[in-house]
Amino acid sequence: MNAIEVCKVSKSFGGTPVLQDISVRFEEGKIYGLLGRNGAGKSTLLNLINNRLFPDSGQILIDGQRAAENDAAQGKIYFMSEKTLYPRDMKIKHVFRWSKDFYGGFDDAYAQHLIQAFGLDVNKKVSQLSTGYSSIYKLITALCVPVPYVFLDEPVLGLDATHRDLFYKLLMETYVERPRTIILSTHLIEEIANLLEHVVILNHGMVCRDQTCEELLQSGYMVTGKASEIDAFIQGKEVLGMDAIGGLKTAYLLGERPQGLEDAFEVAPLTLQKLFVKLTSE
Amino acid sequence: MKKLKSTILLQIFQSRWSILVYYGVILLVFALNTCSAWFFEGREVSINGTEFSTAVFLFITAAIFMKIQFPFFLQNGISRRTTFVGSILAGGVFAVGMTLFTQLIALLAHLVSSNISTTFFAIYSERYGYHYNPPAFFEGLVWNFAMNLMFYLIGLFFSALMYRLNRILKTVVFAGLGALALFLPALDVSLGNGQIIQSLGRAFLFCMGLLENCNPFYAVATFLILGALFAAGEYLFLRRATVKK
Repeated sequence: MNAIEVCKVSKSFGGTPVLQDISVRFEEGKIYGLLGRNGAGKSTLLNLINNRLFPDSGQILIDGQRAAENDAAQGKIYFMSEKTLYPRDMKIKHVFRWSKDFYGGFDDAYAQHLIQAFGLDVNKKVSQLSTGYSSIYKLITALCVPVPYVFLDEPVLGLDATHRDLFYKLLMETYVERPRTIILSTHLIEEIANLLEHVVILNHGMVCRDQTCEELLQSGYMVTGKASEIDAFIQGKEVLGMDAIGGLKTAYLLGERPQGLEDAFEVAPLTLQKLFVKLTSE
Repeated sequence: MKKLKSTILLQIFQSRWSILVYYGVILLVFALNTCSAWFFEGREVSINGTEFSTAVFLFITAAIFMKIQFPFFLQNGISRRTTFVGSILAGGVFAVGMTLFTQLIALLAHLVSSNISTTFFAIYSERYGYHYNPPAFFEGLVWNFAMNLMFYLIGLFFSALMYRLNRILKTVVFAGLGALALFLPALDVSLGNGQIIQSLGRAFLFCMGLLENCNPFYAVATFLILGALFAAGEYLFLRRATVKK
C-alpha cells in the first residue's frame, strides 16, 4: 500500500532534541491531523518529509522511495507551509504557472473557481498580499496540483471565519472528488475535528497518540458532578485531567464507560480538543 | 529532465526584466554617445567596459540565487542536486546569451565608428595587428563567454557560502578579506620586498596569456578552471543547505 513512512527519525537543533526516534505512517487516501503544542516538532517533521531539512538519523520513504534528495518522490507531495518560500516579487498568476510546470499539471479551471470564490487578485505580487490571502494562494496551489500527498501547515492562518468555512467545505469537496492523503497541522483543533480520519499527536518530540479519530475519541469519556462524588468515582481509574468550577468537577477519564453512569453523573464523550489539551498538558 | 528544464526556465524568467533594463541602459548610453558625436564634430563614438559590466551583472544575478530561487525550488519539490545542475546550466545560458548580445553591441559600435575599444581588444589588440577583424570578434566571443560564466559561478559560490554562514562567520569572512586586501600590500612591501605582489602580478599576466604572445586562450582556460572550482565549492555548500527559519 502506498504511504509515507517515517522510520525512527530524530532531529535536534544546536543540541536540543526536537524529534526523538519518531515513527509514523501516513497512508494514501486519508485525512490526517498532525497535532501538537508549540515546539512539539510538527513543522520540523513536515520539513523533514519535504526535504527542507535533513534528519540526524532514521529514514523517510514516500511510496517506498527515499524522500531526501529525490525529485520523483518529492514530486508526489505538496507542502503548504506557514513560511513563504515563493519569491516576494512573483505575481500570484506566475506562482500558479510555475507550480504547473514543476508538478507537471495544475487544475486551471478549478483554480479559477477558487480564485473567484476567495476573491484573490492574481495580478498582485506575493509581497503585496495580507497574511490571509497569502494563505489563500498557497491553499489554491495545494488543491490544484496533481499530487497524492498534501501537507497543510496552519492552512487557515489569517483567514476570517467566512474564508475558513469556505476552505473546509472546498477541502472536503475536492477530497470526495479526488481522494488523496491530506495532512493538516493546526492549532484550531475544534474546527478540523470533524474532518479528520486519523490523528497523530506529538508531544515533546515524540508520538503521543497515533490512531483513528474514532478510536481516540472512544478511548475515554468526561464525567461531571459534585466534587466529592467525582473524587470518589475516579479512584482507581486512569484520569487524564480535571476541571473544577464552584462545587462541580469534571473528570477526563480513559477507559470504557461503566454502564448506568448517566444516572449518577452528567456524562459526555471526549472532544478532540479536550483530549489533546489533557494529553499534552505538563 | 522536465524539472531540470523548468529550473533553468524559471531562472531566465526571474531575470528577464533586469536583463532588459541592463541592455536598455547600455543602448541608451550608446545612443546618447552617438548623438553627441554627431552634434560635436570630430568627437569619436566609443563604448567601453560593457564586457566587465556584463560580468559584474551576472555575478550579482547569481549572488541572489540562494535567497530567491533555492527556497522556491524547495517549495516545488526540487532536489539540491537538480538545483545545482540547473544553476550551472542557467549560468551557461546567461553567459552565451549575454556574451552574444554584448559583442553585438560592440560590433554595432564598430560599424558606427571604426574606433572600437572593447576590453578584449584593448588587452589583446597586438595579436590582431591592432585591427578589429573577424578572428578578434570570434575569439573575443569565446573569451567573453568564459569570463561571464566564471563570474556567474563565482556569484553562485558566494551566494551558497553566505547562505550557509551564520552572522558571526559572515563578519569574519568579510573582515578577513578586507584585512587581506588592506594589509597584504603593506606587509609584502615591508617584509618581502614586494615579492608576493610581483609574483601575483606575473601569475595574473600568465593566466591572461599576456606572457605568451597575447594568447587569449590561456585566459579562457583560467576562467574555465576557476569557474569549475567555484562550481564545486557551490555544490559543497548547497548539498546540505536547509530552509531557514
